[in-house]
Amino acid sequence: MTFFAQQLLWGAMLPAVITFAVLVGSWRAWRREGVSTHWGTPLALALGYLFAHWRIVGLPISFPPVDSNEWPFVAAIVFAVWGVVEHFASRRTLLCEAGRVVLVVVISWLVLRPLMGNLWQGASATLWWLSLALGWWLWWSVQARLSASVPGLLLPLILSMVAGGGGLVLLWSGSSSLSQLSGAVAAVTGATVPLVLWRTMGCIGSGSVAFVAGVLGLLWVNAIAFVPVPVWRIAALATASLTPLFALLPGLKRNPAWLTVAVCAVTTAVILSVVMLPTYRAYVASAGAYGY
Amino acid sequence: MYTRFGLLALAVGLFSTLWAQPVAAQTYQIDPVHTSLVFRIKHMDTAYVYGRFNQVTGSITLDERNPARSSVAIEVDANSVFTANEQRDNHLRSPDFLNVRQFPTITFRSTEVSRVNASTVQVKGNLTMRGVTRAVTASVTLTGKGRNPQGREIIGFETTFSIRRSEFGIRYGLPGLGDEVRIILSVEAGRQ
Repeated sequence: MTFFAQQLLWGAMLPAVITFAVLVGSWRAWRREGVSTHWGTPLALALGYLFAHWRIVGLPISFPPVDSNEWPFVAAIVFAVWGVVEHFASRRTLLCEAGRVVLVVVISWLVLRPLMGNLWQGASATLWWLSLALGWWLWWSVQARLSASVPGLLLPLILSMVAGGGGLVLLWSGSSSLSQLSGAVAAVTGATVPLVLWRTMGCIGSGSVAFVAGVLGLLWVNAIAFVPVPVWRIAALATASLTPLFALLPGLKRNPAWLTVAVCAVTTAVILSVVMLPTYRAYVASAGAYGY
Repeated sequence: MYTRFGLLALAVGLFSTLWAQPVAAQTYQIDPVHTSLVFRIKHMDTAYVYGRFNQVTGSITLDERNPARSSVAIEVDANSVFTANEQRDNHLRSPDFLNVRQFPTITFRSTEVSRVNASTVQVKGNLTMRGVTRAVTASVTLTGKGRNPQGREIIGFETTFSIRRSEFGIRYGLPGLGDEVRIILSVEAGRQ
């Protein structure tokens, strides 16, 4: 098996299988409860992601983590637990927003702290930290609203596309590990799509979105701060994930669901290609014969 | 008369005692221009790929009579990694490997120096890389002493030792990109 095939197997395929297996195994019990989304979904996503993280960059060697690459592992556990909380508290909007603010502010501070006073000095450090936290929170909040108003496969499909396309952008921007972690998010999120098609019911609610938005947001913060990936590329990825907003347009609401999904997916693909193409060109121009 | 001889003997004795004191340890500054820090790593379990760090600084305190009083402190600018491929150098700087934005410096501080033979000492110390500190031991050979063109006293050492990058939290790409990193350090240092 080639090196790339191994990385794909351990970092994407097996994590997707783990998430899918846990969801299928639990589905019967959940169906008895008569729910379309379940508190266990963020935990199933987290299991797949944590497996991928372990295989790609290893387990954290200290707690609290010292290294920026170790934080997504610990944070994924926090986001999974928070996902369960959001599942049960999804109607208490203020509580959820307050929790998200606290999480993004505290976690981004913990991760970015080593750069403050070193790479980023004085007010610039605070500005970077708060700007990244604000962007992360805004994006997460929009995704949470979409999870409540856009049922079905649209949201997991678009989030999976963005995480996968974002993985390529991160790869061509200089970080293979963050790229693969983003790919792992794409794989575990994508694993929910067949279930939605199969059962024709939404299985990714606000709890699952909390997990995906938490982990993906942290990977993007890491990419901007530590690789560094230009901010506009990450902003473009975030924008590409907002196309499910189209589903709320009165004009599209009257059309069949497949058409809405197609419009959103194509638009996402177009936005992703706008960021991927120049990133790939820049990568090829400077790569020479480098292939690991 | 006896008193004068006694005073003279005392003075000579005192002078001799002072003269016989070991020469104080000398401090040398590492010359980055004539110092090489080279590393090698196995690629896909096939061939060794070599790279280097272009910015190495630090100091050596050397006590030739009592090597146990000697010490070494070395700082390496992680950003100065060079493998003759810009894309690979940027990849090595990224969080996949050295994470230079968070950990811009690699350091070594000796904890114990002991003489092995006339030209070799064993140096034990702490190597800190990517925020992780591990004890390493290196056999260091004196490669020469001399004077540089400006007449400054210089001294040279070389050592080769290996580390496992996984022990420093650098686990990306294992096992395709080898775990063992062999380090070859050749130092030229000028007396202060």
